[in-house]
Amino acid sequence: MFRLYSSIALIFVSLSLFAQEKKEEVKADTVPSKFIPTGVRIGTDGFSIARNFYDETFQGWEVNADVDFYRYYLAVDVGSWSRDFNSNAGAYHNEGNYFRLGADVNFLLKDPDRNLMFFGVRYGNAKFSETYNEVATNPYYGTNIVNHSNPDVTGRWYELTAGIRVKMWKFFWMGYTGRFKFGLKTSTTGNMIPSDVPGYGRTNREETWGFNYQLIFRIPIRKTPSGPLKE
Amino acid sequence: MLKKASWFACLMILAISCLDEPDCFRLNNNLAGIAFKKMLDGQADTLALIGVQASGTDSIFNKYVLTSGIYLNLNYFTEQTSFAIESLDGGINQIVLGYDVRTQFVSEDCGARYVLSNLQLLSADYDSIRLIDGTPGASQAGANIEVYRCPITNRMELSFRQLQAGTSIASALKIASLTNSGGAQIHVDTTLSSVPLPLNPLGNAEEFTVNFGDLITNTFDLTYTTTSRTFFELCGAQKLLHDIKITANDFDSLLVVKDSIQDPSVTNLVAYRCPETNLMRVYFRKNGSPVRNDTINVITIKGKNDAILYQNQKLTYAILPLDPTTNSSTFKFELQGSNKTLTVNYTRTPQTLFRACDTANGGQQILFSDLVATGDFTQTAVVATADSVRFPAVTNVQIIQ
Repeated sequence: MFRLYSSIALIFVSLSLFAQEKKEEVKADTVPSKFIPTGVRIGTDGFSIARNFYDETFQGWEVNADVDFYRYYLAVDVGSWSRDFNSNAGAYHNEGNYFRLGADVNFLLKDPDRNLMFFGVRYGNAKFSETYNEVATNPYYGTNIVNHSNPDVTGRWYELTAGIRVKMWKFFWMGYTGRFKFGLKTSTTGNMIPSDVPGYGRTNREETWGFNYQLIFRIPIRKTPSGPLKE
Repeated sequence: MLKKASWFACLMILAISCLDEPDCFRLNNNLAGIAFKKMLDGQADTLALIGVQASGTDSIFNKYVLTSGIYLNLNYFTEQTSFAIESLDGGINQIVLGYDVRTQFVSEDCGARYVLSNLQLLSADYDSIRLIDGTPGASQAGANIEVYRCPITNRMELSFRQLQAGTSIASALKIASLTNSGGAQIHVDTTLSSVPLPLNPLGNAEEFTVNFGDLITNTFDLTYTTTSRTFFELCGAQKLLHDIKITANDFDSLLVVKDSIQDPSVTNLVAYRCPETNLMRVYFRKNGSPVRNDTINVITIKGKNDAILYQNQKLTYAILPLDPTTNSSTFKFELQGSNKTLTVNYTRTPQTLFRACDTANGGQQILFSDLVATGDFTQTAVVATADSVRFPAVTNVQIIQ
């Protein structure tokens, strides 16, 4: 055991010595690494906001954020939505939260305003609950009152994304993201098959498309180098 | 900035048109298909079904049909449904199916769909039955269950044929009802050229009554011999019926063509109808050139002894029976706005067309020739090339009202 501890101590000492040497090397170089983030963008999906007004079955919101590492962006989306469908025969209610985590790559390197045209990937995850009540009618077996619920359901999926971000004025940006969603999987449920997954959409589709329309504010972390990105 | 903003707004409007709204995809999959097969050769078996009744409903499905497969409507409000399947040969068989039911909301317009799975045979009293697919279908395609039956050793077939022109042809006849000596209805309101009939394996005689409608009824009595035999251990000892004989009948002609039962069934008896040699066709024409067909409103057409032949119909032609006992027949036409008479004179010649028909007729059949038609229509004429009655009927007389 003493040998182990002394070996570990030796490794840390040698690393610190190496670091000191490296620090000495860095001191001589005053140009910051291009992979250091220059700012954080936080925005919301305007499409979801608008949908609250024209789609009476939908209520929800989504917040997006990303941070740049040169031409690469770490992106995260967090949202919540609920769906309510009511008819003479029955009522369906679904509500839950979701998040997406992923990365984008900017392919618009020579834009002087550093606008983005990107492609990316996402991992999506949702947790939700749903209920369904109906007076069902069978032409041969008559009518029956149906009550079903799924209290705690989780779902996950993957996305391929593409879109643009455009600087409109100073710190205000706008953009849109197209999403190809696939690979949906939901947790095991009882007598009710999940119908809708927040963040993904209807479960009857193995693949589906989505669209977001972002309104974004960029918070600078350090002074952004002027001109297009250097390759 | 304004230009960019307006461009984004257009894209947003475009996106609205691509909302994630569901279609009414295929709904419930609650149909369990049953295929009926013969144990003897594994081939499809045609059942004469009387009906299928399910628990929980008064509806009767598949009434009076000949079929080798049916689809059972499973009750998706419960997790099992019982069916009573009644057939001509097998009596009533019970089958109980169990399954899992899950519900999924589809849309406001479509409501919910019911997804059935894990189909199971909970009980059945068929000779042999097996589950081949545990997922019921949404449409009538494919079988979930195969039912195998032991050989049927008591089903014979009666075929109907029409004698004409020196030969006979298969004839599909309308059957209002067909009953056996016990009064059981075997066929109801159907049109067939061949009917399967069950013989009683516990006895050696049977009587059948066929009601063809229009007051035409025929009856025939049979006797047969039974021998016990084991074809399959599963089926046990069965009665094989053979030496079928006709002991009485009132068809024009009824013959035994095969005196033993086979599976699948073959024609054992053939009932022949003699040709009707006294049917004359009268066509109604419009005046003019060229001559065209006319449709007239008939209140009644009466024949011998004022027997009503047609009543309250619109006719382009009429088939009228000539009286075989005299050389002249008169027909009274009661039309809208007028009454007309048609008299047809002819030569009668007795002739043997088919010996069986002589017997049935109580003598030779009568052929009608040299037709001469007169009447108080605008014009009455015999077709020059058809002044003799033929079978099937041809146009002998043309009338212009």
